Amino acid sequence: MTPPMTPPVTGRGPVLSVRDISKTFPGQRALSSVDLTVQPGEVHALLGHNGSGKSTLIKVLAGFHVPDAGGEVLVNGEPLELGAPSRSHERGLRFVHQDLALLGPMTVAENMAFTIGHVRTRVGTIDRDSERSRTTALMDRIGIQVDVDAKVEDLDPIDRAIVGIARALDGLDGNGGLLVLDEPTAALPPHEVGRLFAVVRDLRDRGVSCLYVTHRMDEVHELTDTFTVLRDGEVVQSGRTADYSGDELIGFILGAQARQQTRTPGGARESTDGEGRAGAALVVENLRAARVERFSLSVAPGEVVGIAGVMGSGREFIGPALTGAVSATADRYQTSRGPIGAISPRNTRRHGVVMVPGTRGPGSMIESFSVTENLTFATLDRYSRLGWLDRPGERRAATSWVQRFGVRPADPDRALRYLSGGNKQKVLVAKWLNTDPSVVVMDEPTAGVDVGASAAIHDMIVDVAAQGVACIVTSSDLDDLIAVATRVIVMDRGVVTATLSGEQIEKNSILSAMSGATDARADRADRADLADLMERSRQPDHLDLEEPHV
Amino acid sequence: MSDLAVEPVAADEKTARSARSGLARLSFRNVGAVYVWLAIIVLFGVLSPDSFLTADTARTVLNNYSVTGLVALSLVIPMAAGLFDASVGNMVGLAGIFSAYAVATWDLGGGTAILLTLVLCALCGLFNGFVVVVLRVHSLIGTLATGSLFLALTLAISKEQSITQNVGRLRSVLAGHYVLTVTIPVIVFLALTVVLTVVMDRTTVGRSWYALGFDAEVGRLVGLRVRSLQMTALVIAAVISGVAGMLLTARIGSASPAVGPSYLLPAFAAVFLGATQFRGGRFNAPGTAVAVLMIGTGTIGLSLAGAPTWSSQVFQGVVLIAAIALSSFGRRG
Repeated sequence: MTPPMTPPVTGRGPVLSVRDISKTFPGQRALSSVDLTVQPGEVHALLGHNGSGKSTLIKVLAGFHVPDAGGEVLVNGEPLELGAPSRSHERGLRFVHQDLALLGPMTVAENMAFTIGHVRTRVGTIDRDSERSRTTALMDRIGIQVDVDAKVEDLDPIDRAIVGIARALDGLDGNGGLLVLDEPTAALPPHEVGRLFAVVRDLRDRGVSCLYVTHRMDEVHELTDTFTVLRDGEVVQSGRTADYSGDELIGFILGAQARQQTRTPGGARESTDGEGRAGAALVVENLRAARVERFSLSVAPGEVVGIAGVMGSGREFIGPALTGAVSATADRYQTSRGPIGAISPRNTRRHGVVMVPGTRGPGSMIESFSVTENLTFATLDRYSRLGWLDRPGERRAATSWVQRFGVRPADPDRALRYLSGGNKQKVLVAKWLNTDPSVVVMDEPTAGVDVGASAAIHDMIVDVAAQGVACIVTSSDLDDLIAVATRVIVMDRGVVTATLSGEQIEKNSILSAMSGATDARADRADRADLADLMERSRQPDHLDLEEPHV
Repeated sequence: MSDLAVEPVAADEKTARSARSGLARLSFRNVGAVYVWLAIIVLFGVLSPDSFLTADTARTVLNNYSVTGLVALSLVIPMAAGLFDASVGNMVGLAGIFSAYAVATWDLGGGTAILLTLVLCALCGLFNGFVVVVLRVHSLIGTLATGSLFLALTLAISKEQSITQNVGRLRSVLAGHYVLTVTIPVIVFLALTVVLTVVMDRTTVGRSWYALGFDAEVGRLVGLRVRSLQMTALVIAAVISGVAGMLLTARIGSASPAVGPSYLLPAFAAVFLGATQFRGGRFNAPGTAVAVLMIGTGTIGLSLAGAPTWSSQVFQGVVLIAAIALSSFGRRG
């Protein structure tokens, strides 16, 4: 067990001072001469798009990356030895990563012991009682009661996050110390975010500063005192949060030109509500699946329907339900090719209804396959005769997509795992567009790609629609919907609560439709009986897809 | 879409890449087993130049290791599809005994007995599929269990005795003649290597098996029939290892109930080592074949050099560890 450690507090200087830190990876400058200061008792927001350098900076602080020569990091005024995780830990830098790395089937106390050391009895066996009381003490310190004998997998996401924080704080006694929270709310339902904020504020009041990484702008003003915005590895702005409006902060994150992005609803992009039209690309009535209740939709060829909704609204389950990735039923499911039988991936694929998933993780792509093999995998029948692959044909098709989307490196034979996230996303989109779909559902099409690439993806969606494909875009990023949608559907708890079109498709209208839905939900939640609430809280927060076998 | 169009790949980038991939093809990481194989040949060539460096040795390696090679090849498809099949060793034993029993006890002709055995193998493969694909037992555990049942069946049929009566009928079909101085099992082994190479590299079903092995969910979402593909993989494995069992019985001229399990370890060693070769981490037939021949050459070389018999077990164990260590390095890198 690590002995309790009191980081030396020398003077009243900044708790963390990053000076002129750069980090160059082969072929890429991830950080260039970054400065960042966190004062004692301050919550400092670290903002920026994915790929802006936030993660690299955190890994430098944690000692996982050695930065380029030249810069320095001071903790409480004294230089930190860089590239040594144990040194960072001793000096009071503590990290709670997005992936909490807790073992679900083991108890809270057991999880604690794994990272902070086991308590031994005199004969060398594990002293369970001491471990339990130690864990209780750690939880008490942040003022939260969690059953230390509960299995972590049975806890609510918020309690899991708090266990992660308590574990990180072990050995950090007294004043000083810096807690780095990397997108702690990404996995939390909205109503539990407040509990996390309370913990962070409480820690701040007791002298533990916080470097808070987030994508959610509403959290920045609510929680943080100061901020730093990174873009392309450089600090573009820092200051006191209160001095800047949310729009200004978004402007810093996106860069100047992106804010002027305007809708270009030409005549062809007028809302064409496909309801009742004989030529609808897809008509669905009363679609039901896990987290989706009686969802109805009709989309015309060339239309782009945006689906908005807060996390947990069911928005992200529309694509999987429409394509049979999760088990789903509907009273009516009809495409231009006629009614579908069972909603299965095989049937929907045959009817030209495809989904571009929002994550590039397992289930979306095969990392060990080449770009070509990934690109053609959804349409192998087109590149084969009697089961015999036409490999030159595959390669030609892949080469043309690689050129068209500007995939880097422009090598169709390269294994996918060697591509960056943005380039993988391009291959993923190309894979499904290459099937000549009549309906494309895209979930979070711009998640994790930089501003330039998201503009390109927006153009691409508009372009695909112009070729007569019906597009359904489900996104938590309103800019996606505003940029491309001809109609926006707002969802809450699995049902449609509002439909907006034309002039209504702008940020405030969508937000008010969404918040109206959320208020209504809060009312309903008040009335809902306890059993229902408990049932909801037990539902897993991930897609309940069939486990890949073996 | 014009915004997405970008400058074409520079010509020099292309040349650099092709030069790189040419070298990469011969790198130790890609064809290490070939180098180790050559080193083994050189080593034993120096240790016992008169007896080792002969055509006889080459023929002995091929003849003695073609059955092992077939069992290893039987694992290529299920392993590529992400399924272990630990029952192939006992499948060898069962097919060997059953075919001999059919000619000995039922007095069947060679060809009929072989056909009947193939049907039995396919049924055993289906049973593996039922356990692994339908009941969703983890493939390693499930096939260890079914393998135990196959072994029990083997012992029950044979009454734990070797069968020699009428086995010559199998021999006349399967091992009676030589083609270009090698036996029929060798021809089957080499031919199957070629067939599996083509199937895995050039057909949609091969590509689909690989996809299932890497991420079955991706396959399901593009509309593959995941279960049938997994089922087929296990049936093919059982049939190939069954053929290996019959060839073994025919070559030796008798069927022994205890012979199967000894084929499992070298087969897994070869298929894992093979996966590190040629195809950058994918289970593949040519890599497996080279690995078998490497193991065979090493083992025969050891015995010609007068090493004790247990040294071949040491050699196989070391190869299996080295193969798996190499393949996990390959996956990390």
